[in-house]
Formats: sequence, C-alpha cells, structure tokens
Amino acid sequence: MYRIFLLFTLCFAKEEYWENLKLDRVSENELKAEFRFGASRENLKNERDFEVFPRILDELIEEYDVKYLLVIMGQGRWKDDKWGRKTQPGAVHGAQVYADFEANSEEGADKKLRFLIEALNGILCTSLSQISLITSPQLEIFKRPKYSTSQQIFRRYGILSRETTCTENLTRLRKLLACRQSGISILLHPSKLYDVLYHASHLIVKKNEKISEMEVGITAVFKNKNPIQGSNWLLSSIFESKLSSSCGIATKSQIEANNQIYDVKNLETSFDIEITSKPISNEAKLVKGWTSQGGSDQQNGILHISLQNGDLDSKLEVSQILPYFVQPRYAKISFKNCQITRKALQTSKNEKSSALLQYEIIIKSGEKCEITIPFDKKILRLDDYPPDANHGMHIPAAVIFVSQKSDSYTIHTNPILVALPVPDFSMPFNVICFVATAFALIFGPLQLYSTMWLAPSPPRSTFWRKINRLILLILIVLCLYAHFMEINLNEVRRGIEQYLEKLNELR
Amino acid sequence: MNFVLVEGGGVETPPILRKILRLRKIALILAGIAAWYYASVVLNPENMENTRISEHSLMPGLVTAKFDKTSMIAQIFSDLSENPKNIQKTICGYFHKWDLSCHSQKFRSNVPGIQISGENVYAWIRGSRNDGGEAQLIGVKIGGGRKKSEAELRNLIIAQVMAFAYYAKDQVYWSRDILFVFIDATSNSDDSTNFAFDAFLQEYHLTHSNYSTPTTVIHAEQLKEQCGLLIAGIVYEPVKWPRKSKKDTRIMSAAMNGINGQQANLDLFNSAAKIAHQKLSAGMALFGIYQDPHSYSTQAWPYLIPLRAIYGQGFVAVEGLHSVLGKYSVPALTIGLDHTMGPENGIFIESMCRMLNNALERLHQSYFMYILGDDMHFASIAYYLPILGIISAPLLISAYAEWREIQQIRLSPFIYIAHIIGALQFTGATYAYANFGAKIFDTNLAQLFILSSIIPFGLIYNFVVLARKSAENQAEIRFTRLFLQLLTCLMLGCLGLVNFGLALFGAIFAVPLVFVMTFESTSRARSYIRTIFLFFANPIFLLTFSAINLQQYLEYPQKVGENAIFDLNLAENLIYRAIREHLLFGSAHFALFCLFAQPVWNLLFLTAISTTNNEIDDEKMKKE
Repeated sequence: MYRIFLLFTLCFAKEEYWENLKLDRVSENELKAEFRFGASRENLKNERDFEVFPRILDELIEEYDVKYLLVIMGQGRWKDDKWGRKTQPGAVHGAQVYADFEANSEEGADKKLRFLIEALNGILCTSLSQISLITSPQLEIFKRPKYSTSQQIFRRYGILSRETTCTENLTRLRKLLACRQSGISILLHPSKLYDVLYHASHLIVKKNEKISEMEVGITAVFKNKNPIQGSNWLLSSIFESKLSSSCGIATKSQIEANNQIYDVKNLETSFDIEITSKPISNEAKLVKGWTSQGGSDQQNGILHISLQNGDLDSKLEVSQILPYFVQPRYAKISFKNCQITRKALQTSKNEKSSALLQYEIIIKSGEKCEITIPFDKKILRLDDYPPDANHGMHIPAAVIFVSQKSDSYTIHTNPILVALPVPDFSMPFNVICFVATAFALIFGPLQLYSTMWLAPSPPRSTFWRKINRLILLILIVLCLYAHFMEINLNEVRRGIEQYLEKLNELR
Repeated sequence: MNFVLVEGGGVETPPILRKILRLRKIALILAGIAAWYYASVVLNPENMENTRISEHSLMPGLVTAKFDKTSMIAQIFSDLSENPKNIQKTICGYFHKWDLSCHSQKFRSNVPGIQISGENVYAWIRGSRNDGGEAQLIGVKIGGGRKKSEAELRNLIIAQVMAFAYYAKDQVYWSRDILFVFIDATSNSDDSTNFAFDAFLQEYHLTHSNYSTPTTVIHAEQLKEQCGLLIAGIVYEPVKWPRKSKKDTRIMSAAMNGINGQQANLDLFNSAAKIAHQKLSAGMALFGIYQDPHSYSTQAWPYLIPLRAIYGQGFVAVEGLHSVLGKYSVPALTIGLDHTMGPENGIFIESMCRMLNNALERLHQSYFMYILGDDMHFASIAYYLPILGIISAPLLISAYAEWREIQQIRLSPFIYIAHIIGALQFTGATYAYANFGAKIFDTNLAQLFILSSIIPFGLIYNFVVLARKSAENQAEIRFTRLFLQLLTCLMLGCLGLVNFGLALFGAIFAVPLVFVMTFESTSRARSYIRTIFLFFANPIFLLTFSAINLQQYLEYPQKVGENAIFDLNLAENLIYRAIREHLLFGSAHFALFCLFAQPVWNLLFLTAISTTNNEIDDEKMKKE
C-alpha cells in the first residue's frame, strides 16, 4: 500500500504551500497586519493535476507565456512618517498591473495583453479593462527576476487610479488559496479588513524553467477605536474570529508578532495572542515623494513631483505616467536640485494611449529634488467623458524605485485629480441656447424682410388661415386651462386611455 | 410662403416693424417702465423659487452631527487670548500636540503701491480614505481686530474651528483632506487679509513666477505640504450682526459674491442655509440684512436683498475672503458664525465638512447664476436676464432704424483712436501703480488718470477732422451711431451673462446716454446742449455719483463721499481700488472702464454734436 502511495506521489509535480501573518504596531493606536500566502509548483510537461497551486493561474501562465505578473490594488493613504516603509510591493491608490511575458512581436504582445487583462478581470473580479498599459518601461519599477537574454520578453506596466478594491476582490483572492476554511486564511474577514485606515492586496505570479510560483498578499492598518480602554490588541478581537484549525497541507504556517514567531501549523486548540510589543520606531528617514498640482484654469496645469531623500545616498528611478487627456510640454519640463543620469521618454502612440516619463536621479542624503511638468488639458470628445465628468480625471501616482547600498524598494507619490474642461449641458447653457435660438428666429426674418429684394405676398384665400388660427387658439386656451387648473398630464393621459378602453369595450 | 418682387426693387417693411419704428422716440420710456414692472415681479422673493439641496450626495450635511469637543473651545480660546502676539505658534502648537502637521508661511508684497507682509498658518487633517487627490478648505482670520472685543470674537471663532479639527482628526470617514488656513489679518485692512490669503493660494496652486505666469505682486514662501484639487472652501468669521433683526433670532451670515461677478455655487449656499435652519434653527443674513421669509410685511422692504445682491455682484469684487478663492476657480462661501453658539458652531462646521466630504463631483456650472431674494428663495438666470434685454431694446430698435437708412459703411478712424487711448490709459496706470506706487514725480496717479479721462478727445476729433459737412463725414457719423448702439448692446449682453449686476447698472446709465446721444438731431442748439450734458456724463463722474447715491438708496449704513454729487477723493479712491483689485485679484472693473466705458464716451461726442438734415422720416414711413 505504501509503495503504491509513493508511486502515486512521484507521478505528480512537486507542490508547496505556505502562509504567514506578520503583526506590527506602527503607532500607539495603529496596528499593521501583513498576510502572505504562497504556492509553488514544479514545471513538468504534460502534468495537469494540481494539489495546492491554483490551476487557473497555471493556465494563465501557459496561455499567455507569462514570466512575471504583478497585480496590486490599494486603498487609503500610507503614512510614511508614522508607519515606516510601505509593504512591498508598494501599492498605490487604485490598481497596478506589471507583466513580463513572451511574444513573437509587438502586435502579438499587445493582443496577448488585452486578453490577459480580461482574464485577470475574471480571476480577480476587477474592472481593469480601461487600464492603459505602457510599452516597455525602460527603468526599474519593481524588484523582479532576471531573465536569460535569449528570450524575447515584453514588458508592460499601467496604473488605473480610479479602481477601487472591495470584498469581491478579497473573495477571489481567497479562492486562489489551498486552505480557505482553515489556517491563517480564516482571519481574512472582509468586514474587518476593509474597516481600516489602509488596505492593499497583491497577486504575484512567477515562472522560470523549473518552477512556477504564486503569492497572494494582503496588508491592512487597523485603528484602535477605543484607545481609552487600552491599546493592547488581541488577535481574536482584531479579526473577529479565533484561529482554531491549522492548514494541514501547508509546509509552513507562521504568525510573527511581539518579536517572536509562532508556529500555527499543528494547532490543536484555539490560538490567540495579545500584541504587546511597543510600536516600531521609524527613526531611519526614508525617501519620500509626493505630487502636487498647479494651475487653476481649464487650459493647462502643472504636475510637481517632490522627492525628499532620507539618510542614505540613493539612486531613484522615477516613472510618471501621463494619460491621454493631458499633453505634457516636454520642452518646459524643469528640475530643481536633481542630478539626472538617464532619461527615457515615451510619447503616447495614439489618442487613447498614455505617455511615460522616466528619470534616473542620483540624490544625496537629506536633499530634495523637484520635477515640474507643465501640461495642457485636452478637450475630449463627448463619448470620452465619464458619466461624472465634473469629478475630474486622475493622473496616476509617480512610481519611484529606490536603490540604496544594500537595499531597494518601491514608493509612490499620490495621484492627482485634474479638472478637465467639460462641456456644460446644464441650465445656463440651455438658457443661452434657447435665448440665442429665439433671437435668431426673431431677427432672422427681421433681417430677411428688411434687406431682401423680395417681399412676402400673403395668400389670397384666408379661409384655411382662419381655420388654422382657430385650432391654434383652441390649443392655447386648452394649455392655459390645464396650466391654471394644475391638471396633471398623466391624469389626462389616463383619462384618454380609459376613454379608448371604453370604446374598445363597445366594439 | 410666396414671395413677389417689389415694385422698383425696393424694400417693403412689414407693418409690425413700421409700428415699432414709429414708437422709437418713446421706446426708451416704454422699455424703462416695462423693465421696472418685470423686475418688480421677478425680483420679489414671493415669486422666486425655493432653495433646496438638489444634489443627493450633499445630503450627509443633514445627518446627525456628533461634535462633542466643546470643552476644548474654552481651553484654546484662553491660550489664544493669553498669547495675542504668538497666535501662529499657539495654533501650530495645538496641531502638533494632536499629531497633525502644521506649518507657517511668510509673505510680502513686491509692488511699491501695496505695502503688505505677514505670516499665515496652515494645517492638515489627512483623510484616511483619500488618495491625496482632493481636499476641502476651511479658512479663518487670525490676529488684528480694531477693538479688543473684535479680537476676542476672532479668537473665539479660531477656537471653535480648532476644536472641530480636534474632533475631526479621530474620524475615519474623511475621503477628502481638510486643509485649515489661518489667514494673517493683523493689519486690520481687508486688502491685506485678502492679500495674505492670496499668498497662500498662489503657492498652493503653483501660479507664481517659478512655475507658470510671471507675477511679481506677491512673494511668498513655498508650502511644505500639499494636497490635490480643492473642491470648495468655507471661510468662517464672527457674524456681522445685521440690522432690522429681532434680538431673540439666531442669525448667521453668508457672503457669496466673488471677483468679476462670480458667485458661490448655489448648492453650497443652499446646503449651508438648510443646515443652519434645520440643525441650529438659525437664519442666514445676506448682504448685511436678515429678512424673515415668512413675514415680509413686518420686515424690511422685500427688494432690498435682491437689489443689494445685484449691486454687490456688480461693484464689490472682493466681498470676503472667499472671493479670493474664486480667482482659483474654487467655489467658496464666507460664513459668519454667532460666537454665542459654541457647540452649535462645531456642529455646523462638522455638517458642512461632511457634506463636502461626500460630494461626488466638483460643484459645477449649473448653479452659479442666480439672485437671492432671501436665504430661502432665489431667481434663476432665465427669469432675471430678460430685464437686461428689455432695457437694451431701445438701442436695438435704434440700430435697426439706422441700418435701414445707412447708405454706406464707413468706419471712423476715431473708433480705433478711442480704443487705443483707453488701452494706453489702462496699461499706463497699471504699470505706473505696480512699479512706482500712487505717486509719480510727486504727482498723484489717480489725478493724472482723471485728468486724462475727462479730456473729450471725440470733440477734438470732431472739430479737427469732421468739421466739414461732407457726405463722407456724414456717412462716417451715421455708421458710428450704428456701431455705438450695437457695441453697447453686445457688451451689455455679454457682460450680463457673466456679471449681471454690473451689466444692469451699466445699462441703466449707458442705454439712455447712448440712445439720446445717437438720436438724429436736426437742431444745432439741441446738439450743443446734449454735448455739454455728455461732457458732464463722464464715466468717472457717473461712477462717483453712483457710489455716493446708490449706497444710500440701498440703505447701507456707512456714508460714502462728502458731496452728494461728486467727490474727488472718492473718485481717486475708486480708481486706486480698481487698479489694486486688478493687480491682486484679476478684477476686470478697471479694464472695462478703460477699454469700454471711456472709448464709448469719447465716441459719443462724434454723434452728439453732429446734426443731420435727413432725419428718419416718420411720415414717410407711415405712407410706406
């Protein structure tokens, strides 16, 4: 029997699954929870049985020749000063997609990408179809694997700032996990994970010649709503559920808290811990970046990116996507205290594609660099405006890949909301149109009669004119009667309908 | 419709037009009466529409407010009163204690004519559900106050706003950042306070010379923190207690007029009025008057608020600090809070913030054109704009009569000259004021301007160039008549869409003047008399005359000017104010005065002094 089982397991590709939860107090009343779930699978030819690795992701990898895929969704503001470095890969408000994949040509890559995005919408319940993916960013955006030079790898990257993350996304991410009803994933309680100061989730899919890997991550920063009652946190109270069963198939199942690692792989009784550790100190100054918007008119504006370096000399690779509705003035882009070592500018290919500006900047410790990008706002076609056109449209956040002596990470600035020129279909516009039309109708004939060499000749027969006038007069009287008696049009309609019904009955 | 060729190839005028043209002489009087009657119907608050919150997304302003930090008001007020010279530090101290970011910003003027400097303070509550793209602004004046009681009132409002900040920092539902700006008002002058606020806003919008338009008026420190688009701004100040109000009535005040006829979005005002009514049982005083909408008979004249609204829109470019926000296309209001209502004021501020927090879109163009009858009623543009049309109608009829008679189009060179003179006056005066101040070589700039404005260049041109009564000159004058009539109508029409108040008051003077001065005169004596009258109807004189008398008519308490007809000091002050507002806030009053009013006045001399032998013949028209 044992030999049969051994033979059976040898026929399958080797798969692994692990889960981890890290809890850190980031301030007196705020706690960061960082979930990570991972799975890997040995790449064997013609092997289509799956134990812990999500089959759907494997199919995605195979179908679209994906080498590295990263989808991140974020909501809320990360407070660098208080909470320290952002959980990597850094999430920006909205959704980000980064993909490395093989294709035969640029056209083939674009086509593949369109299908890949739609497939992701299905897997993650997102609405990323409107994302504008930039062709081949030349500078680094995220830490990613290296590939052999023989492969023709196409890179695509895009941000959709308006995408909101919700419980539907969490449900779909949970479905990718091998343990959904046991282990740490029990704590993924939507009502708690979205009632937070900051929420981010990500999906990473990697594939090389030997192995395929997947990682699902969820980060949330909780706020203690009753700070007077004490600032200690119980695991069960944070997530409103106790960790009572372990994930049997996981190779590793751990909770990191209070500077300790708790192994929860072989749980027999319900597990609970109190997070008593002091808030983590964020004395080391990090690189910070923020974007501000200039200009107050409807023709043009300014995008101002400020980069403040921390304690160490850094190399920054800044990527700023400029969507199709703004036209950057390339000649007027200016820099203040920035030592630029490399530039990569990609203009938009067509009316609906975005432009990408990338700068490699060397910045010394404590220094501040400022980039000013003036732009013109485009007047869009009517169909291009969203239903809430007056809300404005987002320019995505700038992504900054920071390389320091022994470390590298990604940070983001904030997106900005651009108030575009919007056609006004509101009341004053209508008034102007109606008044102008009325004037045109009055002054048109006036001008005509006074300048033409032809004069109108009134028709000789006046009988039909009198009939016409009588009908018009009756109509006007009826309208006035209806107006002053406050007769509802619906009542009139109903009356007519009833009358017609009676007529039908008579037949 | 059938057409037949008219005998002799002439024009047969329809009978209705012939009737209209025959009424031309009394059209001015008829139009005046008709406009008066129509305005009295439309501007009566009883006939106006009710104010309402039309956007559902603004409804959160009406949910139960939970402001509960009343005790903090007394503490902050006491600290502010003890440190009157360090208000900026005291404010920032509190914000830092609450773990909120707070910074100060120093500024000064670069223009010799404007000597202003000071220090603003700004602080943030970052919305945890915000992506950094949007914010709402709360502005408060700090320091100053002519009397001790005034300074105390300001401190109380600062304390109430800060107590709200203390409350708001713990709320998690903010989806927009809240920006608190404490504006330096130490110098007690409205201009300085507006300048201080503008210094902050120009840095916020990066509109200073380092980034875009080269402006040299304000030099201010760069902001240390930023946020995105400002959806709206509310400036809080102590309520100016209105006259004619009962003592037991709770009253707040609202100001909404902005630069160049801008008004706060009606939704914004409506929501503020509804919150005040429903939560505080308070009424909103407008333009210094509170009128109970339920009892007009016992209160003031019902037309006073609409008339003050029109007057304010036309002539008061900067009604309050909120007006400065209009320069940056941010809808804004100034709300006067009753200092005796401590907790209620906190509730009001919270409600306003929650309303703006939830707005789905920017408050857009739909409701920027209105006239308020009181805090519960408004007239929409569709109803009040015809007043302007009726007043301008006589000019259109005259223009039509001229058009029928005109034989050839001969553009007078003086049309160009008059406008060039106006443009030179405008650029010269603004340049001189910006670079040298009010005095140039010990000469008063305003006096120089007035002197250049009262020279009747049109009369000189007439005597020098048009002295000979040739057919060409007659054609030139006839076409100038038509040009002036159409220009005036067009300008008033365009202005009416942007700044109805200015257009209406402009029309009241311009239409009769242009009508009379362009009417054909066969009598030389009549022409001379009207020319003398025209000389005294100089725009500066009319402006000063209106400033003295309109305010009295509209029952404003302060007396303007020493003399009932003309006051030179007042005229100078008006000119300086117009230049200053143009330089600081981009007000178009001075430009309109120089580029429209002055050229029209000069051009009218050409037509006023001219006589004609072939007056439009009414008898001939009757026969026709």
